[in-house]
Amino acid sequence: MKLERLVKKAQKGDDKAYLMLFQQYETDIYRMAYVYVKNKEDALDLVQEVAYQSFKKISTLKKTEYFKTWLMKITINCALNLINKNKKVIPLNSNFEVLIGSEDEDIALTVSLHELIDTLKEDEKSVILLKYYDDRTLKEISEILDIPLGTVKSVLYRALGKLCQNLKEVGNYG
Amino acid sequence: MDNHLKQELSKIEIPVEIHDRSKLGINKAKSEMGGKLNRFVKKRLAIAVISACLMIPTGAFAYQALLADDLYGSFDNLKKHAINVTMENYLLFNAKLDQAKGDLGKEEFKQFKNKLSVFTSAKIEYGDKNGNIDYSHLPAEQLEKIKVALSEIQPFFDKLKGLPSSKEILTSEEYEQYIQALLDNETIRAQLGVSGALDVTSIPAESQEKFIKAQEYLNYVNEKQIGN
Repeated sequence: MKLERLVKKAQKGDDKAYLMLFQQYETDIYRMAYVYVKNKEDALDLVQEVAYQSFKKISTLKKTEYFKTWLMKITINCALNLINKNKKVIPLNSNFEVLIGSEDEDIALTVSLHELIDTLKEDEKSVILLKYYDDRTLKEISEILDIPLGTVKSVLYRALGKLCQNLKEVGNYG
Repeated sequence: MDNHLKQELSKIEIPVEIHDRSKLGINKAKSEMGGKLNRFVKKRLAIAVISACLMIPTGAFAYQALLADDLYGSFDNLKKHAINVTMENYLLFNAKLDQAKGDLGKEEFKQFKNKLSVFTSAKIEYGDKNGNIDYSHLPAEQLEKIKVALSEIQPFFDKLKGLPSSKEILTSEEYEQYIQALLDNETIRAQLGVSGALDVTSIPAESQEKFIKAQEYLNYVNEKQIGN
């Protein structure tokens, strides 16, 4: 079924239509969320949260062709919200946390992905993900993130600079 | 960089439960939206109810706009019988009825209207083009009925004019005479076929005295009412 029809149906409250629609994007949402929250459980929580929020607000979507853009925007906002919330929680036993964390770590992730996840700040992640994973233009990114075009550019170059630095460092030590 | 990043990200494994989590989120939204959708329906329902509420009184108002219609059926109906009646007269009459409705109590107005209907139906049946009745040609039984109705309704007319009830300030004989004078006055008008002011000299000699006597008596009662 065409995207437009599914969106229209979903806007009328058809949850089955929306599930079909949402499932086409859930892997993208999950991967983007993972880059921010760095673990499987939180990323899954985010997928659920994005599904919840997006279906609730689907009636406010004016142009169906912007559905994916809109979904990505919700994903980024949800991820940032979760990160901010988690910042307020101070772990009682940080060593224990680290132990769990390292056990949970996906071994399949390469160093460069770790670099991407660990070295970049949230806003830098957003720009990099939208630019290279979601193939957005800089102008689109500025619209999705609600920041000026100039800021998008400077954040992008800063992020690329960091990544290059890391690659060089890896290269040096490698 | 382009393909590299996608490649890197594709290394993030997708857990099997992702499907269920999407479903869970959507179902949760759906269950909360149930109320929201209902609210939309409720909103429409409210609009329908409000517009209905607005329409019903207007309908009732339109229906009751002319109280006079209750008595004469319609202006056209009255016009068939009393040619000289104008819409203006009719509306004036209606205005009087409206006033009566306001001045008299609900129950009182009902009584008034019932009695008035005896009167108005007689006008339709026996009235001339001005709506005046020549009572001398009426069957005795009918005349008596109208006389009773008039003597009962006159106090209402007095009240509407803001005058004390003629029935109360006059003795019963005087009152009877007063009603008779009213009837005589109208009879002569009907015989002459005029409405409004009457020139005494145009009245035939045999009726003249009767008319003057009636007129005098009406004036006498009127003065008594005002003086009271």
